[in-house]
Amino acid sequence: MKKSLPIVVILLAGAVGVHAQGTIEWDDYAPKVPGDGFQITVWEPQGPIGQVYGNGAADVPAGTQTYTGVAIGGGNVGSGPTGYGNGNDYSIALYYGVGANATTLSPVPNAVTTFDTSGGANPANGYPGQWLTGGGVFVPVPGVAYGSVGTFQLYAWYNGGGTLTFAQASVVGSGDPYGLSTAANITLSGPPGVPSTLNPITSFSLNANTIPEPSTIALGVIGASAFLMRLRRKQ
Amino acid sequence: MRTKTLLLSALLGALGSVSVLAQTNVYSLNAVGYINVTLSPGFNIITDPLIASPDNTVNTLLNNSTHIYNGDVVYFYDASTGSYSSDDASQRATNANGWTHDGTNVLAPGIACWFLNSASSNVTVTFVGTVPSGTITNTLLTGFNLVGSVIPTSGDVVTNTLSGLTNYNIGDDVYMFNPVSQSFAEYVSSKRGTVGYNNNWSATSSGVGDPVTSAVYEGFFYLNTGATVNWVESYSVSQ
Repeated sequence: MKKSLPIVVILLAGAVGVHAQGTIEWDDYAPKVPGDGFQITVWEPQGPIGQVYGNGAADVPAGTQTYTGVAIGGGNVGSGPTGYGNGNDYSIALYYGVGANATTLSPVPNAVTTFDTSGGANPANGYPGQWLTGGGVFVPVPGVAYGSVGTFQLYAWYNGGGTLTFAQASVVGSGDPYGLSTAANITLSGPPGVPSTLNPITSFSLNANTIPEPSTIALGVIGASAFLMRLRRKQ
Repeated sequence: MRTKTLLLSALLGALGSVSVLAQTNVYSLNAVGYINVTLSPGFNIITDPLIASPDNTVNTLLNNSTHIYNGDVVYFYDASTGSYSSDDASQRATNANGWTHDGTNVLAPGIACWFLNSASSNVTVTFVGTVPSGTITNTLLTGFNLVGSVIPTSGDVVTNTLSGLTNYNIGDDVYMFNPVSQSFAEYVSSKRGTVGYNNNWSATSSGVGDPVTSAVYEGFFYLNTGATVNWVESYSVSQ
């Protein structure tokens, strides 16, 4: 959640030399004051339309995106790529780059975990799609000082019971669901201000990562080729 | 004087805590009081200059077993590591006290914390406890410190007769947070200062003169730019 106190940034010049490496609260989720709180939900693949991004009506802040199926985790028994209710089978990690709009991102140390598995229909117990339940996990971001901007993005993937890395799961056609949030430029605020969170990253879905079907264009090319060959034979 | 008024109010109930050792004619007198803390919507920096019973944990001071603070967050800053910790009051907390990290952070006298009030209007909480007495040193490490006065006093932080913070390093800063405007005022001690104590405080920033707290529960960030600063405060019931 944000907690962006914009004015804080102005005051950070003197702080940089004291504690140069900025931190970010990467698991904060709870609804708080309007414009401040936020939560991210990660959903199962949304069918043939591919990945979907944006907050839904139940997210904070509320959005207009609609998702089908289930959110990742939540305690339902499941196994394999389709066991989306089994949070232990899915990992989520925070990646970062130095500066705004960085194109090369690396994992933030110690910012990786699996999804919530507490389960249950009672919202006090089960929070599908959210990866921790308590907030308060602050991780240092190497090379991004307080008051500086970094590029941040969430990576989520099927981990095969803890055996698959993101690189392995994201091989095209592997059948292992994975997805990335939209990337966001976030200024790392620190003392005297409150720490930054992942706001404004929004909810997102995984993609099924199945073997791609021939595209319409490819089918068209094949059809045209067959037609031309037939014409040549007639001639 | 505001300081005196405050301490006098803290003395309410002191009689109940007087213990008398008749045989040796040694008297123990404690000042017991309470503080009503007004929390504005959004962020507040608060401190509790009272010794609560059984302790000064968030669990004791801001118990959320009835979930009245749901959505609120406290942030504590560890000056020795330069890192934050936080605790969320939430319906999803599995702890009986309603805090996701069990309310274990300690808001002892001299320590301040951020309190994020998620309500849309002011919330009042009451701290109860014993006024610290004797000479007490609040050690301000190099870097940022999230602190408040050890004793319940407000006003000019530097020249207050009970809590005077006069042994600062030139170059140190104080960041006072206004919870109404949700903005900081920065007070800079400088050789080029022209106002405040010993004309050491600069008016070049948003703050003017010595840093001033408006309430006994108001904390602030102290940026120590030099060696460790010992903020010595003293109070006795007879004062």
